[in-house]
Amino acid sequence: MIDVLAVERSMKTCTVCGKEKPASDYRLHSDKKTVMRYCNDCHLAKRRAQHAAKREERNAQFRARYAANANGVKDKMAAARKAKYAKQGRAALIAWAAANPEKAAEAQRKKMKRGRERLSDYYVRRLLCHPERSAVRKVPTVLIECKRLQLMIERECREKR
Amino acid sequence: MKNAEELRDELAQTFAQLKAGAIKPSEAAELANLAGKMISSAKVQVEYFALRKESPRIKFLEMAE
Repeated sequence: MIDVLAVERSMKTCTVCGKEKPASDYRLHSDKKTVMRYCNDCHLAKRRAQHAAKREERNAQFRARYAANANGVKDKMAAARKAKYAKQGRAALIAWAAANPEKAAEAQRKKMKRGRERLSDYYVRRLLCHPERSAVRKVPTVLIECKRLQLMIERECREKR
Repeated sequence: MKNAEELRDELAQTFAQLKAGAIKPSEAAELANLAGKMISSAKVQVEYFALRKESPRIKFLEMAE
């Protein structure tokens, strides 16, 4: 026989939706003893509404935090790479490139792309005297600067035309 | 333009003028083309001495180095 009184005692009316529901449909407070005044469905609906209302604000916070730390992470990684290079030397780098030719080629492509965009010393030196096709090991700095300026003028002309 | 330093200064000036719109792009392109020829000839000289394993003073680059 069902204990009607016990069931009635365990039933609770939600203060939000006004429906009568068993106590198991209610969440406990953080003290893990007392039951909340509103049912689980209403609780979830409330949380969803709060989440939706603060979505943009929270995303902006996350974006700002990422932007503030992005360079920090990049600097940290660059410092780690530098330390590794100082410790292991160029031989380790060459060995890695030999072991991972595809990754090395991809890294080289990226480096050249960056260099082309920024007209870096590395890129301009390679244009002047490619290490695989030239015997020159040390290109005069002034020649690199002249070549860079020439390329800058050519690019500017191309843009203006 | 007697040496690479003067060429560099001239190129920098041309670039600034081009940015400011003081000279036409065609004029700047001509100068850049000429500069390219001068740079190439200097490069050939540098390559030649590197192949001969010599390191004489190159007059065009002398002032800069």
